[in-house]
Amino acid sequence: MNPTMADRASTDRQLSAALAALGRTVAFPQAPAITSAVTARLAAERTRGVRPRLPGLALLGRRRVLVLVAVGLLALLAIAGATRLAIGAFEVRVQPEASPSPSLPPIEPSALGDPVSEREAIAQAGFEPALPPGPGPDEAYVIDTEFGDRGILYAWRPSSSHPRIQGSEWGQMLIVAQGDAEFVTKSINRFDALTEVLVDGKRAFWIPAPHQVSISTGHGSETFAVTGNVLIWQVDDLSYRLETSLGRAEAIALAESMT
Amino acid sequence: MSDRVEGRPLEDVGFARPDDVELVGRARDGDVSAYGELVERYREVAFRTAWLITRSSAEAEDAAQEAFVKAFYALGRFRVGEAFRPWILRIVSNEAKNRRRSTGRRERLTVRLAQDRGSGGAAPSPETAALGRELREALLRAIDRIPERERLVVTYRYLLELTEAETATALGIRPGTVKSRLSRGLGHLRQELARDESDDG
Repeated sequence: MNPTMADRASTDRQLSAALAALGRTVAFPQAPAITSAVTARLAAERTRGVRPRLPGLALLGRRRVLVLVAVGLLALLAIAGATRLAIGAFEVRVQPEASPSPSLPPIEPSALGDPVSEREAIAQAGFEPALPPGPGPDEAYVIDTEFGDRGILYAWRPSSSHPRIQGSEWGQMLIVAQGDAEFVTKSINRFDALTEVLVDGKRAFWIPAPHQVSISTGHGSETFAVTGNVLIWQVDDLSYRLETSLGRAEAIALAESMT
Repeated sequence: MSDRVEGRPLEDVGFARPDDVELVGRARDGDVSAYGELVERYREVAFRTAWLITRSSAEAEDAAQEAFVKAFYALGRFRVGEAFRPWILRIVSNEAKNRRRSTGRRERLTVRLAQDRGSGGAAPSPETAALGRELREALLRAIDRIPERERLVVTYRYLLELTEAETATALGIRPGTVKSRLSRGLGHLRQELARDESDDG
């Protein structure tokens, strides 16, 4: 009696062998010749100046904005319409139309990655952030981005030391990313919703107003409503985004206690 | 320039092709032709990756092309020492997923099997002979019916022939997650094969 198909693939080894053989006999559709189209497009965009001439210049463009901020042209930039500001991997866009929609959910860590241990998060991300003193986070998540950069999200459940963030089931959230690659984009709708502050003498952002946040993940960009108070600062090549129910002075003190 | 001389690979006649690291370095400096070599090297697997997600040749072509353009501008983020292939396939995968999400289409997997005989009428290869056409077709139907997250791992591993590590990078998941999804996927494939047979019987 001939074995059935299920019999012939009854173990993982048999099934793996069958799939491997299948892979070698599958006829995919003919791959189109896209090389010249890609290079022609890159060359044309360079000629028209549509995109930065070289891959590295996208980051330089953002730094140029920061220089303008430093020389006090903040207000002029604000009236230019959509202004982009950045600290490390966190970018803030001032967009008058960016009122958080009531339908947007609060940040849900599990939508951004799988929970891992603190040690595993450090191992996967390849960097070790400083954490606030006191109880450690209840959960840690590694956030993968489209371009392979990684960040870590730490979340604390509400407690006496971390009162619940309005509209969220969490008491405190800390996102840390390495480098300057755009990772988290915050959209605020009024320029006065963002305040420049100092953390350990270095420029930082304080955003107490409700706003939107888009976080780049391996599955595309996820957008959330933010109702907590947010502090963004940078230490060496790590950028930190702390969301709490703390006021400005307490949040800055907490950030400075981490360094 | 052809990669072959009278049917022999250039490497065999003393021409060393630049490796990915060198090409990425030159592309980062703005050398579009070096980037073109990378595109040529990976366009086929990029197209297949996009096609497995979109199930449409036109969408897959657009996704692969757009992904290569985006990747060029993101080369500054590419970590020296990492492999280029899984990195570009991750960008392709995301582009293809976004396109499929925006079109809302869900086509069936209509991949074809190669002929059992070669173009010269040669005997089928040993693996083709060992794996009957009936089983191969049943496997393709089963792959189409398992959950997407498992299907992507199975197809990246076996149809694109990526390693587990490459599959993890290309899908943006941990190697351990690749293993667990693969294990669940194989289990579901077996169930689907059994169901396929009982439907026929």
